Amino acid sequence: MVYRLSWGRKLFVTANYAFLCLISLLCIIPFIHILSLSLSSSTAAAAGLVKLWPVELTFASYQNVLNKQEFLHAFWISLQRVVLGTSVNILLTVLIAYPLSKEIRDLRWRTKYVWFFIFTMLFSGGLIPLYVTIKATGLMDTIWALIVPGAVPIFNVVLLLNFFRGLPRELDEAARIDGAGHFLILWKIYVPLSVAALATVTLFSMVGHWNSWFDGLIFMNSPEHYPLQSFLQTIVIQRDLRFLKPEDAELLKVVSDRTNNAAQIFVAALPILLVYPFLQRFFIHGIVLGSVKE
Amino acid sequence: MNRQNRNKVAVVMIAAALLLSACGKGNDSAAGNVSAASGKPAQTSQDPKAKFEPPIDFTIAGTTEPNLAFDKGESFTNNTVYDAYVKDLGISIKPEWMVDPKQYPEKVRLSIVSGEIPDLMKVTAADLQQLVDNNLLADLTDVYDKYATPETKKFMSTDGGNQLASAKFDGKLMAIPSTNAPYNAAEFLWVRKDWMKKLNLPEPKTMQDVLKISEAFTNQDPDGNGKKDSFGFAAQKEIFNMVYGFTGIFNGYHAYPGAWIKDSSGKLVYGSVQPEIKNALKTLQDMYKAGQIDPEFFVKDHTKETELVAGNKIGMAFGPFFLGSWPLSAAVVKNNTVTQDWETYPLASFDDKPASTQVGLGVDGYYVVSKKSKHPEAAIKILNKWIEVDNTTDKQVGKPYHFSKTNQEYWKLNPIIVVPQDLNVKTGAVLSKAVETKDPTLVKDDLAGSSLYDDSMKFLKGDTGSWSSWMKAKPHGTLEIMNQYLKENRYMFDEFSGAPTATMAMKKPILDQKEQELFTKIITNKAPVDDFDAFVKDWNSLGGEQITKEVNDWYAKK
Repeated sequence: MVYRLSWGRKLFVTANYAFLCLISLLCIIPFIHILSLSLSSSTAAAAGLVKLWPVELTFASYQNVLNKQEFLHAFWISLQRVVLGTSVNILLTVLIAYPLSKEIRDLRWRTKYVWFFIFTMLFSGGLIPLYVTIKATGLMDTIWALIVPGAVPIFNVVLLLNFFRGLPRELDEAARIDGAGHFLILWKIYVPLSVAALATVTLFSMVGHWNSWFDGLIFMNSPEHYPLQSFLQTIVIQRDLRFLKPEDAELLKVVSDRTNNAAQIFVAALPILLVYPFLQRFFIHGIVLGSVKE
Repeated sequence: MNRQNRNKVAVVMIAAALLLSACGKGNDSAAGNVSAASGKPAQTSQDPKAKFEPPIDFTIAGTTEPNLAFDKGESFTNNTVYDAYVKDLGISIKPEWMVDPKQYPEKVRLSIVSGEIPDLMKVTAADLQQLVDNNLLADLTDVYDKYATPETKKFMSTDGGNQLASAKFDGKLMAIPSTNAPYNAAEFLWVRKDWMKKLNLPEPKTMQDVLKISEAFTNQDPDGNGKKDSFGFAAQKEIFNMVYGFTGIFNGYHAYPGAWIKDSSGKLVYGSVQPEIKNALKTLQDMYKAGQIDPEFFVKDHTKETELVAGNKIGMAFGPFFLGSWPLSAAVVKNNTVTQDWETYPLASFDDKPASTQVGLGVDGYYVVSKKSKHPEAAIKILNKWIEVDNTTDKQVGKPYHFSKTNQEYWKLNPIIVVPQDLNVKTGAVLSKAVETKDPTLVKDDLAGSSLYDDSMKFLKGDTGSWSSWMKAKPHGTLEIMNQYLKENRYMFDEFSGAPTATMAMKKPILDQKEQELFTKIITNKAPVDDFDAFVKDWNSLGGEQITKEVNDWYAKK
């Protein structure tokens, strides 16, 4: 295809691309910095010599990380969490979005149900009631404490609900005339037609589960049960000096190793990096599709 | 949104409000249940050293150390330290939960409101007050009397009983203070001696000397690279932090930010709003304007600023005695060579009155025992044990409680850790002499002293890993100066050591933030020094006056 571009248009396009390149650079530079930090020697890292290229290239920190039992264990827990959590999320999202995508004449209290869900998006009980609930229901210190509280991602439900509503109603009617029930319609027609939207919400769920750390710290009673991000959070945060005992300083001398931390951060980011390219082609497509209705 | 929907929103809002208030009530009743369900502790043998037979379970709340490497098959919940407690005391330690130090206070609070606190945990002074008010704690007065060994009692009141007194409420001992030597908070002036020699500068005896050195370090190219890229002082965004903070400058002008000090009439006043502060701010502003402080310091933390030290760009810093261990050692010791020659000095004063270094009570928390605990005396026995094993010169006795088979720092795992109230300061009186004359007999009864002595000898033989110990032990090292401060009566104690008062708990965080903001602005020359006067007025009207009154009421009752 050939466009005839006016001069002003060309200028705009150039400026636009330059701007977008700048933004993507901003996103990618910290990442490259961490990568080169993880590949540098620790003296170079402590001296702040490492910018965007490794100084005194070494893979020592990766060897350390791969031999570190705690790290690998936390990694394994995170994988479990992502698989389990995402499956629960998707199942519930689909099961909730389908009936709510129906017209009021099919589901009489539809609006009320929707508000019931939206409500939880706007208000929450706060940390303490949540903690007490988890404690009372006996989920404390189990992997379910990380999955059940966020089992229904409302944002994803709304996204999928709108997508379902965008599907032609005639399909639904035709299937009913042929004698299909709701379940059959949902699994044989709606779900296969919504792969793009499902990929999007799956990605949201996965990234959400992989990245969340606070619930791990609060609901897990021992570090052996920490998912990866909670574990990472404990090693990279700044120490609060007010609680530092003299002996702690000696310990810090031994452990304050930035290259190791950088390597752990990088390894932790890898899985999501690998998943993104495969799901991203659905991604933009998926979000936008539900937004336009005929 | 149509009318119908709007009504629904209203309904939802009201429902939310109801729900929230219901939650609040739930918490109260949970706390009530706990206090109701208290029982009398079971009596065991009166001998403080007796073992529990059969072993009892004792739950604790622990902090984790993510960098601790465990031996094979061991973990935070199952390790040789806990085995030692079972073997020696018959106490099986069960962490109810563990979390990293940063999240610990949050999790303690959650634990308290959910009504289930472990037998033993460490809390802040504010939490202690709350727990006592809600009657959730065991009264330790009797068990401490009965079960604490004479050594323990002596250990806990080396300071004359100040720290122990801070855990007493109406004469009842409600907690075990996590003791530490208050003198460990002393600040020192760290200076690059190699630069001083190169530029032919006098030793920093007065504030005027310090300012001169700072000026020379900035302008006379001490690192000799032909560029004007060095700074007089290290600095970081928290201007009153122990490490790279400016408290040393303030103390040099007899200003004590953040501390409650006695004024001439004997009343307590708040250090941050006294007129002396202004002089220090003026000096810092001048230094900043002259380029003697890193212009980006207000966005940097220790780690970032240490990069400058490693890059030979910093000539002086304020810091505590352990600055040589962390963060300096990473910057100074490179590839087994000591690359920078640092020297330590006492704080310098701007007039003929020597500068005092400001310190607090030295208690960094309180170990509390739950009222529901069946064996509150177990906490005292653990305390006895820790004091015994941490202060013996017999390495065989101490080892199981301190190190793993591969010498990892297992001491972190002990449920109660208390530090001698005169740690280091006592050692400082003799250690430097012992090192100078190479005479280990001077420190043979002093555990910390003899280990520092050994390290120093190793350093002299070329072990650069012991550089940080050398900085403490050497003649004119930090421990000697720490002792010198004591002899010359140069410790300025924060007179307020109670739990935060009502107004303090509510308003002080905001006031502190305002203070930090304004002081940083003044130092970086974004606000004139005279803004300090307006700040003092604001501080008083925004709750400071009330806080001062409450602090003085507390002081009068003490």
